[in-house]
Amino acid sequence: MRVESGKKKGRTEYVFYISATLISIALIVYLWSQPWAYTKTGDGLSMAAFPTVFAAGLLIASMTGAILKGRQEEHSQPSPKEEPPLLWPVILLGGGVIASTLGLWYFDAVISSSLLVFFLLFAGRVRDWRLLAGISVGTGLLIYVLFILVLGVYFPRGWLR
Amino acid sequence: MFAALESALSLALAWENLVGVVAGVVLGVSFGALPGVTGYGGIALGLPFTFFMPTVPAMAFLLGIYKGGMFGGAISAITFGVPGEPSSAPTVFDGFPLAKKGKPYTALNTALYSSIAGNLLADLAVIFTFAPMGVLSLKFGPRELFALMFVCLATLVIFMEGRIIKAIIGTMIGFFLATIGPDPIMNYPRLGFGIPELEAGIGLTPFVVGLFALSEMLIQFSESLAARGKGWQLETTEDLRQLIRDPSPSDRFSVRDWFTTTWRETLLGSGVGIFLGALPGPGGTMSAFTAYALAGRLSKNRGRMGTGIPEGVAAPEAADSATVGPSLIPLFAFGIPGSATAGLFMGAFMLQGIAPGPGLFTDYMDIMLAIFMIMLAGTVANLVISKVVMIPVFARLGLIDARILIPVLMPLMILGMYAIDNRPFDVLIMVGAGLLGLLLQRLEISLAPTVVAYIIGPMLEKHFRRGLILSGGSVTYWFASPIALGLYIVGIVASVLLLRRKKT
Repeated sequence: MRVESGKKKGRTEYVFYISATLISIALIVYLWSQPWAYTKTGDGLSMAAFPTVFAAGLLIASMTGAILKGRQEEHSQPSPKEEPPLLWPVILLGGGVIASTLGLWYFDAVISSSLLVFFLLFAGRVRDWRLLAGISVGTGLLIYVLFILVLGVYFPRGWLR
Repeated sequence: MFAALESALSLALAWENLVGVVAGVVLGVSFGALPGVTGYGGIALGLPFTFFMPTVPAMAFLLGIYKGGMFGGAISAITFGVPGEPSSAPTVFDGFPLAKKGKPYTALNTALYSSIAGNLLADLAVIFTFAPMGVLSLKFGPRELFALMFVCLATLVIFMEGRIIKAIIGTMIGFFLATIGPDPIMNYPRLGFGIPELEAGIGLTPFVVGLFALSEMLIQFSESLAARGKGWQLETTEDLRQLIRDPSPSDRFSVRDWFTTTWRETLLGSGVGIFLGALPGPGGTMSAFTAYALAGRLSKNRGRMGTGIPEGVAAPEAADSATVGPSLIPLFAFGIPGSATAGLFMGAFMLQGIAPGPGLFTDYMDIMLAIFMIMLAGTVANLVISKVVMIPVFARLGLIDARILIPVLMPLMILGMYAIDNRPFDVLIMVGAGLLGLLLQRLEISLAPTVVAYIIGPMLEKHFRRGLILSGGSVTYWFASPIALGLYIVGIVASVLLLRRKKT
């Protein structure tokens, strides 16, 4: 298991605060570049009023966080905390979800779901072929019965149908 | 009156009504328990079928789904860490850790008993205080609802836990995301960032499911991958046992255990749910978060909230279920649906040729009394079906190895999100919310303020701006109502007391 030290975590937090500051500035600039931001409605406010207040709140909080974190970092002690690496699981699950969603159009809801299950099981290092095939096909059947037969959900017709 | 009662009793006890309520509960619990399929979806699905039924069995069927769905959401939240309904999200905080400790029966039984207690108390409150609650709900205009949002916002101090900056950042992210979509006054799209689908806004269900469930799945999947370095095959029965673990023999939780451990939290949650449920807007999700937050300060075990204790399951579950009956009060009393679910019930009444409103209790007295009796019958049916069938099945399902469980749950969640509005964009929102949830969890930022702010945000803006239009910009308008003034005082006093209690 990879160890993420307290110092590294502190740096991550610092990067987060700085990023949040920059994002909130960008949001305010974006908001006030919209034509509707200058049109007042019946309540005397523009449609940009509330989003601006919230973006400004985010800006102030993240700036404060960055300043406090910067000061804290000078005196901080590293405290090891074990956390598993997340990059691969994020790529596997996130990529699998997006590919499976796109698969709704190109294949079929049932088939793309079965493929996703197979892919994730394999990525999870399940190597028993009976288990891989059984769970993938079983999930596909469950999805067919639940979503198509029972719920009557209309899924895009992929080229397989 | 007695003739109407007698007629209502015979109507309520008719076999077709009892079959309707039992079928509804089975459907509601099953839908709520499946990640990605909500009880609300179950009601929407069941609505067209009621066209072919007489009035009382139709309402019995829908009420059964509504009640069953409320508990079903907790099953999914506890067993898989995936809130079956947005309102089950706070149940994840303690329910899922409790199940991971090898006590899924304790968590599920706590959720069931608290849900039933909240439901029952709310049903009784509806039956006996129906008229005054209806009148009270009508007294809530924009300024009173704005003040109510202020009280809900004040409870957020509970999630600060010495990390004020982080809690404010989480809150502001939630508020800002809530402003994406149509403007609440002009209904003009804003903050679409050039993406047409985003102009319709971010749906609550994909947002909450992504934030809580997908991020949790990512963490579990990564832990599972890190724990087992090499591939393995299913060769012996021991391998199978590793895959599907047996529940711990110590995992027993009787009604007596539940009552002695969680009666305070259950009562607190029920009170919050009954009050907020009767008002238009807050609904089950807001009630559950508020009850969890209050229990986090008022519970005897408040220091251990979030670590997997029954008290943390009882408060949100009781609150969520306690909104069922009261949420129908504005509909029954005035023909005004106070929530999306009440809107579906309104549709069901219309399909039967009945216009909900003040005339309901004069023209259809026996039917309405029968519906009240069926509400109680639905609660009993929910208890029996969930206790005998659903809990034993799902407690075992939750113990399946994460490497098997997560791949099976993923497509259910994806298709469930897609099926809400047939919008593939909702799946992308779920992915985005999942990544956001993961980031926030890694930075030790509580997810609760983000969700609460996301729910409150649109209501806060709508009621504030409506108030501005009504008042013509006058400041005194906001404090001229005794209810609003009382709520402001409650909000301020509660936040100060809750903060002080934490310090001591």
